[in-house]
Amino acid sequence: MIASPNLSSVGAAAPLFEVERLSVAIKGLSAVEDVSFAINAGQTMALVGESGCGKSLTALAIVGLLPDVAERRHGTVRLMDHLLSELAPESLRAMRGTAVSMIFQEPAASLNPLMRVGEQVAETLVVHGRATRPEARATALGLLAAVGIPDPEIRARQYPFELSGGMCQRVMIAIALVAQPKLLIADEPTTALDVTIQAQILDLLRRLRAEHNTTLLLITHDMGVVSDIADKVCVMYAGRIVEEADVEALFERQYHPYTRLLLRTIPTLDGRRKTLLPTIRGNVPDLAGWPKGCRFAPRCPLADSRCALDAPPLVALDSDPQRKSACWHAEKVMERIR
Amino acid sequence: MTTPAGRPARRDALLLSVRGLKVYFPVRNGSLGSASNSLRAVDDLNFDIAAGETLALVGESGCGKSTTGNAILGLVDRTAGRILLDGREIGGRSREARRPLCRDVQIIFQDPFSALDPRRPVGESVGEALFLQDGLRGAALSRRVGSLLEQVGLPASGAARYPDEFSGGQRQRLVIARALALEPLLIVCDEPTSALDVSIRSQILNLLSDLQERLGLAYLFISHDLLTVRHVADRIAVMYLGHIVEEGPLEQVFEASRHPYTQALLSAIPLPDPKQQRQRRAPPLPGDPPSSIAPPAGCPFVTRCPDAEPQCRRTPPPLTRRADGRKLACFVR
Repeated sequence: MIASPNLSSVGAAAPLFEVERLSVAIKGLSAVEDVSFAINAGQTMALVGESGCGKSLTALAIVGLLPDVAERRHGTVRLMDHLLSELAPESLRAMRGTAVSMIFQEPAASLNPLMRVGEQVAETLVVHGRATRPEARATALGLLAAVGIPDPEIRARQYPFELSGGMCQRVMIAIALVAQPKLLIADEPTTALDVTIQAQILDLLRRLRAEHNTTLLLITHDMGVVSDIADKVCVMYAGRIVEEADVEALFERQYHPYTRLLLRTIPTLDGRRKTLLPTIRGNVPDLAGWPKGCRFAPRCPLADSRCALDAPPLVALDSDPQRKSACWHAEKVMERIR
Repeated sequence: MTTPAGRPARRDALLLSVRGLKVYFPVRNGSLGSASNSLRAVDDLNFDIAAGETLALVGESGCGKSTTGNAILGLVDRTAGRILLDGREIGGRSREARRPLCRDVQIIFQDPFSALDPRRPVGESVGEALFLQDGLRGAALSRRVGSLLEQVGLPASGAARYPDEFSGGQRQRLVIARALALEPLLIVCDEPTSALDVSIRSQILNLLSDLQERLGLAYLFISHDLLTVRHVADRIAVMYLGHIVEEGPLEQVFEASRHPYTQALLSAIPLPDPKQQRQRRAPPLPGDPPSSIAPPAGCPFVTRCPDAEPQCRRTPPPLTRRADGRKLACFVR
C-alpha cells in the first residue's frame, strides 16, 4: 500500500494534479505530443476533441493502462506529491482506486457480468480496506443509494445485464468512489447514454464534486457536456493541445481557429431551419499522416507558409495572459473567422 | 427536378402514409423457449410525409424510431398496419408489392464503415442498383456512377478506389450516392451523422439539405440528437416507448412543446454555451424508460411524468390534433 498522501509537503498554490510534456506513441507513431496541463483541487477540467485526437490515450497514460501497442515516450504525471509517471507498475496499481479512479464510456463492459453488482461494490470495499467482509454489504448498499440507485436492496442482488446503462454507470461511479480518490478520470462517461440519462449522470457528478471536493478530469467530444460541467477546458487536435482556457472565456472568445470553427459548426437550439451550417473543410488527419508544422494548417483558413513548416507552441497570449493558444495567428482568430 | 413519367412531382403532395403500424417481436423465455410475450417496439403509429419534406423521428434508444424506419423499408415484418407510398401499399411479401421499395425508398445507415463492401471498388457498390434494376452496363454505367459521385462532392475518378481509402465523411457521401442512384422519392436517414466526427457532421447535413432542394427528396430523418434535427427538419414526431407523443412543425415543437416528455427531452440537452446552460439547467427527469415487454397500462410516460393523474394510469391517451395544429397524446396538457 501507498502511504496516505501528505498534502502539507505541497505548497498551497501548487495544483493538485499536473501533467507535463506527456508524449505517447502507437507502434512508433506519435499519437500524443507534449501534452501539459494542471488541475486545481476540486476543479473539473475537460479534455475535449474528436476521435483520434489522443484524449483517451492521455487518460490511459496517466493511470498506466495504455494498451500493449502504445508506450509513453516521455513526460511526468504528478498527483499531489506522488510522481505517478515514476512509479513501478505495482505501486501504480495501488494508486489506482485509492488516489485516482477512472470510469469509462461503456459501463456494462467495465463491470463483471457474472457477479451481482452489490458484491462488486462490496469486493472493492474489502480490497481497499474500507470495510471488513461482514460490514461490506451494508456499506455497499449505502454507496449505491448515494449514487442515486433506487431500491438498492433489490438492485444490489442483480447482475449488470439486468440494469440499464445509466444504472450501470451509477454502479461504476460507486465503485470508483469507494476509496474517495483525489482525482476521478471520466472517459466519455455519458456518451453511450440517452440524453435524459446523461443529464442524471452529470447531475450526480456535480453533486459528488460539491460534497467531496473531488477533482475531475473529463474526457469528451461533446461541447454541450463541457459547458454543462467543466470549469476549465483543454482542446486537443491531432495529438496536441491547441487551446486552453476557463470554460466561459473559451465559449466567449476563441484564440485557435480549430476551436473557433468547431464551436461554430455545432448545431444550436436557436438555430434556424434549413440554413446551411458552417463547416470545417477537409478531414481529421490520421496518425500516419499528421501534417508537418501546425497540424490544423491544411484545414485552416488563416494558414500561411509559416504554419505549414513550424508547429506553434502552446503559450500564454501577451494580450490575454489567462489564455493559452498554439497558433501563430491567435490574436486574429475572432476577427478573421466570422 | 427530374421526374420520370408517372411519379409525383408536386412538392407538398402527400407521399407516405403510415397507418396503425405495429411491430411486435416475440420474446422467448422459460426453459421450453416458447414465445410467451412480445416486445412492442412500435405500437400503433400514424404519420404522413409530404413530397420534398423532412419529418424527423426523434426519441431515445428503444423508443422504436429505427424499427419504424426498418418497417417502411420492409427490413422487419410488421405485425399490423398499412404503409402507403403515393397511395400504393408497399411492402408485404409479394414481388410486385416490394418493387416500389427498391426504387422509390432508399436508406442511409448510421455507420458508413459497415455499409460498403470492403472488397469491391466503391463504384460497384454505388452502381449496383443501376446494374440490377435498370440493366446499365459498361460506359453508360460508369458515366452515371461518375455523375452520382460528383453530385455528392466526390471526384468521378474515385469509383475505382476501395472503401478503406476514404474517410468516414467521404464514405457517408458514397452511401448517399448509392441511395440516390435510382432517383428515390423518400430516403430513410437513420442517424446519418451520429458515427461521424463533429467537424464532419455539418458537411453531411449540408449535403443532405442541398440534395433535397435540388431533387425534391423527402426524408424520414431518424435521430436521437435534437440539435441536429433543429437544422434539418420541417416537422418533428417525438417517440416514447413505441408511441408518438407529440408531433408538429419544427418551431412549434422546439419553442412551445407541450408534452411533458418533449419538454424533459429538450431541457436535458446540454447546450454548448456555459452561461445559458447554467441558467436553464433543470432537475433531471428521474428514472429509466419502462420495458417495452411490460409497458404501463395507461400512458407510456406515466412512470416518469411529473404531471400524471389517475386517468393517465388507466388508459393510454390518444394522439389528437389540437387547436394550434399540433398533435399531442396527453390527458393533462
